[in-house]
Amino acid sequence: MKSRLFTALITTCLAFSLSACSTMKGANIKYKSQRTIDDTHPRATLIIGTSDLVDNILITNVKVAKVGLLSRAGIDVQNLTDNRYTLEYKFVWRDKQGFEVDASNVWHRFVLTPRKIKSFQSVGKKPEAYSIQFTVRFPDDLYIESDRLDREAKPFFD
Amino acid sequence: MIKKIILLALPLTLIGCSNMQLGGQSRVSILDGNSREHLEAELTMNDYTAFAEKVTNKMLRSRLVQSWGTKRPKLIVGALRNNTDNESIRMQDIYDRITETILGSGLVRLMDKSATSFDYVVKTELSSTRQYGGNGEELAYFKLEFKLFKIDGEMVGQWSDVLPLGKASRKFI
Repeated sequence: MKSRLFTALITTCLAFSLSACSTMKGANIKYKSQRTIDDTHPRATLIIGTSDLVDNILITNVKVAKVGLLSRAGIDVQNLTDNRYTLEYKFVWRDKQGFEVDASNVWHRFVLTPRKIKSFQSVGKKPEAYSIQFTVRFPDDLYIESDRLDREAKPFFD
Repeated sequence: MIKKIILLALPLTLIGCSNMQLGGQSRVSILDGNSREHLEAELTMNDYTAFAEKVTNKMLRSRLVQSWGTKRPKLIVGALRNNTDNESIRMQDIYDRITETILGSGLVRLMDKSATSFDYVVKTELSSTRQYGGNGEELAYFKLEFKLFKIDGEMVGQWSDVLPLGKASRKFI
């Protein structure tokens, strides 16, 4: 009986200690800090969509200003390497409370040649647009991806 | 008896070796609503959105539009002219994306094309150029252009955006 109670106690303790290790506690934070997220600008959150790009490209020179009744944001993306990158970017505008406004934006593809700095601008197309979330990532394209998988599967035919 | 077992087992073995999954979903997937996949060097619905977004970006940050402030002038967006080599482009969808973006900004009062009282009219045109390579390669450039006119016909603004689409050579194996 004593040993059974001891086993139950150990099992309960183990379950509690494992749940303490869990990272599922994000409800009251904006996001979890990672190497791919830069939030040093008060009105911009900059996201690099893959850790492979960290230290290879840099999102820099963030400017947010008024343009008439609307807000305008400017951002530079710098290639720190001698590689040629095909990437895509997206601006998401948020209001002062952090709610997304103007969610109709799509991904825009661009090429970053070696050492190049490329500039992008966006206008928050609603007067309440206040801050931006800017993301750069490798293209998420089903057909490019399936073509790559086909080539990997059948290298003989290339 | 052994022959019968072999005859029964052989097709099953072959099916097991194939990549085809019985009862699969016909290789159809739902894509990310904001992604920009293309099967042909033609415009997709998300290209319409990207065009509307980029050209109105340029228009809204122009000095003229800034000077409007809270005046909210009356604006007509004229019918979008299709000057491309593809007559099946859904011009109404592009037009709707443009008006949705301009209206959402709250900077102007958007009037119907039949209105007789207005301050500005935007004329829009979609055009394209195309080149073909020997092995099925294709290069297409689409351009959307906005021209803003006053009621007396004076052109006060012009903004455009270009979308290049390239198709790689055809594989026969």
